[in-house]
Amino acid sequence: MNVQYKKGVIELCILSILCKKDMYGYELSEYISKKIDISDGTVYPILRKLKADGLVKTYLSEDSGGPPRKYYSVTDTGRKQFNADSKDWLEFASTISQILKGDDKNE
Amino acid sequence: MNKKEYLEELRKELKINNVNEIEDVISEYEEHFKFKIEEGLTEEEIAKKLSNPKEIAKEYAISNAPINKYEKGAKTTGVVFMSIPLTMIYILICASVIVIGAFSIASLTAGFCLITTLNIAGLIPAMPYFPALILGIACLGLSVIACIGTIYMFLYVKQWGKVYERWCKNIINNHRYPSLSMHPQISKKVSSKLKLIAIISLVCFVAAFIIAYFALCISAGSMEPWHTYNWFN
Repeated sequence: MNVQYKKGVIELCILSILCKKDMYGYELSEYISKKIDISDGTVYPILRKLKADGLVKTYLSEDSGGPPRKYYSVTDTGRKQFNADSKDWLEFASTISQILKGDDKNE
Repeated sequence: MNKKEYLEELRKELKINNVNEIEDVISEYEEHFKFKIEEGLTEEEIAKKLSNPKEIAKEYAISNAPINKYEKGAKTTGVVFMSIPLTMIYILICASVIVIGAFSIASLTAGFCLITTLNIAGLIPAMPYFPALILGIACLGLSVIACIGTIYMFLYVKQWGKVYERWCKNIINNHRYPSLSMHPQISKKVSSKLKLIAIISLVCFVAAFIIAYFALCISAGSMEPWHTYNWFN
């Protein structure tokens, strides 16, 4: 599948995952690369962008007993953005799949 | 490429692309190597699976979009000057919320006085008790409408303040944050309840006012009861 297709939705996927649970960078990266075929490390620049946009924030935590890890969590703005974007995306995806399957009812 | 070479290369590319907080980025990739090594991969394998440093640095450069300091200063000054007249207008709007709130309290007091025949400082005009009671109910209805109006205006004014603040921030920071809605978020349940209460109070007010007027006319035996009871002298 075309790489550009994927990059557009990874932001949305990250927000979706972080809405449910805070994760550290590597954990997120692995989680996504298990489901979507992207090269390792693609997620980190996207996380930086989301942070710069104020959609996610980071904090240090050492709950697993090891050295402190940088955790990512979603901000209120990020949650709002996710709710709006995921709705748009789902509508868009269902329209596209209707068109691709050829059962577009408008015809 | 081993870990050291990869990170060196990445650091170099990040510098070329003017990315901020390079060490922060490097530590993210160091972490990545550490986890992968724990999983049993060699440094070379890990580096091979990562995208090449040049591409990664470019991705960071996009997300980074460094803001020119002078530009930021100029924009901040512009926003501050623009805010001065707008703040004055905003204060006027805030004052109108207080006025409507005060009107609501005044109506409530008038209604209370009429119903309990409590005549504070002789402000309540003379009239028989039945029309006074109905007129009191009309005042209470008016008070509820004004109260709901105050709540709505307050929420809107608050939201507009936030919208403006976000808008200014976006001007200074190159549209970094999504803009906000002009409408405050009131849950559908609450807003439909408030609307229902407002409609009921409006009907109460209009009906009670008309009834009170006719009751006054009948008891005064004239279409202009205020003359009969000498309200304006």
